[in-house]
Amino acid sequence: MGPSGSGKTTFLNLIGGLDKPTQGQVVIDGTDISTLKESKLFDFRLRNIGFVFQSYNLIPVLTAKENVSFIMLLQKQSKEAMEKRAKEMLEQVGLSDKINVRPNQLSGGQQQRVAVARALASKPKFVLADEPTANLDTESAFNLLDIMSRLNKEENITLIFSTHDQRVIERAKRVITLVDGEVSKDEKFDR
Amino acid sequence: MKMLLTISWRNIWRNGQRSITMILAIAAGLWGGIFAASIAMGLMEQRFRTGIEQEFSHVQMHNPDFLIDANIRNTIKQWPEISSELTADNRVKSFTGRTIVNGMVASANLTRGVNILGIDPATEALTTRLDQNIVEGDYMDEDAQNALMMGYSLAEKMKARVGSRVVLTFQDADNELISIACRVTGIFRSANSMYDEMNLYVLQSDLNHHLGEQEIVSQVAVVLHELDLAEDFSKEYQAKFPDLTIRTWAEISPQLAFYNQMGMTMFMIILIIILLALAFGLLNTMLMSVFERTRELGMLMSVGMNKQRIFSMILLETVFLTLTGAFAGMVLAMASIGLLSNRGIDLTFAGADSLKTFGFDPVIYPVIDNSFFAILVVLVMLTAILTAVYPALKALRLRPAEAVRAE
Repeated sequence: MGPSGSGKTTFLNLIGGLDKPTQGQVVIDGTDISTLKESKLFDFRLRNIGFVFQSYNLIPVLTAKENVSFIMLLQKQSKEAMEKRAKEMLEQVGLSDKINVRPNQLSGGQQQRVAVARALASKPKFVLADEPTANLDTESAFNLLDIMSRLNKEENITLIFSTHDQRVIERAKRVITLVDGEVSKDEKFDR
Repeated sequence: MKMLLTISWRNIWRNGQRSITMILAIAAGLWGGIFAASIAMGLMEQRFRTGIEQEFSHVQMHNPDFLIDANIRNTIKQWPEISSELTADNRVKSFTGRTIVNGMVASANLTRGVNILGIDPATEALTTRLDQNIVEGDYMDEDAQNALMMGYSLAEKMKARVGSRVVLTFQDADNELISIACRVTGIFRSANSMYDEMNLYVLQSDLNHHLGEQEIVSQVAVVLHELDLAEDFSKEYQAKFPDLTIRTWAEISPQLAFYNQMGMTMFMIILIIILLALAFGLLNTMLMSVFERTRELGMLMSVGMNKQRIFSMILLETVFLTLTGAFAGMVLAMASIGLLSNRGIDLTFAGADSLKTFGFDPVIYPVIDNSFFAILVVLVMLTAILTAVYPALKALRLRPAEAVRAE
């Protein structure tokens, strides 16, 4: 967490392999991603990192199930495995009745739940969520955070948030506060 | 790949109005272009066909001196041998020998210089279908003494009708001027009014009799079963009869050969204009589409969709959009050409009668070769692919971290 301009998004971009550091290294699971070539970086992101964006960013021409399958498809998983996992994830986020619905027919909260299902479906090493509740009303935000907390435990996948939202912070097991691009606080909680 | 195809196809319909406008523009452009080209080709093809059928035939034989000086002494002396060779040759569909003299035709109103063609009515009809061009009176027969067939445009100028008497004046074999009175028994009208004005027909036996010789043949015209045989046939007969000049239609009338090429050239010019317009329209549409989807493209790159796939997606969208429009345009073009290729488009009302002066029929039958559609599909695809490159490169230059947060 941190105020605007503190470097939250830059930090997320760096560990997500979307930006390269001008100094230092970004090492993920023993791989220094700051030295990877662009094509390798695409592949690294595809196989290791899940993304949840502030404005959902689903593919509007695909149904909920197709959106959730999309990353698995890029990973060239088998059709059966994709189908099974996509259905399972949509069930986990409470949208099993919206499998064949396109994003424009879903509410903001529902779209963000599809985005969470998409990010977790391919079982990445971790998921980066950039202010995922910023565009949601209170009820949808609570609902989403409940789902994300549950999936964090059930799927055993680390979720890294960039947020101002107190509701997110209250559920986090570790909160790093950034000020002017530097870590000003690093707190751990047993939740 | 299947997913890429699905996404690309669905992406086209995200902005349905814009895509439909583009598809309609492509369809209308191609339809108009193909149709215009089919008219141009129909015009050229018809000029080519009537030129071959009514004027030049496939191969012509002359005494070489006749081509320099169209004097009746420069006749084809080998006519009996040629005639029996041609009769035995199974490549030959029909042939005829003509006597040609330059002379004058005079009526009470007008005197004109003309080519007087002495013909054998039966073989002439088989070779040039002259009998089918008779618009007034009758096609002459063997017994018609001093009968004359005159072109429609000449008859109009001379105010001659069927039954009118005219006087033909020409030089005989002894260079003496002789005049004979003929009666107009038929008026013909070919697709070339200039030809109709310059040539008139009399019986060959009549003309030869007046010329003072029985076996005068100034020109042999041959029609083969296949046009493509003309060149080999001509070479072969040239070798057999080295004293003669034997030429194919293309050698006799390079202009006609040019017409044959002209249809294709016009088609290509029209096509290039259409493809240029298509390229700019597509470029605009696809650039808009990429700019509008900056955030989505950023997301796709962030989650690991590599550049090759992004490039392919934009390429496929462009190709789908183009092919849909092109397919519609080609179906429309095929339908309208099919509809009008039998009925023809009569341009007489638009003053196109003057086309006849240049040998063109004012009723145009649009025609297009199926192979042109194949060429067209390839060129349209190529245009789509080349046009897609720039918008696709624009998409690839996006930085995912920035693009994903674009407004």
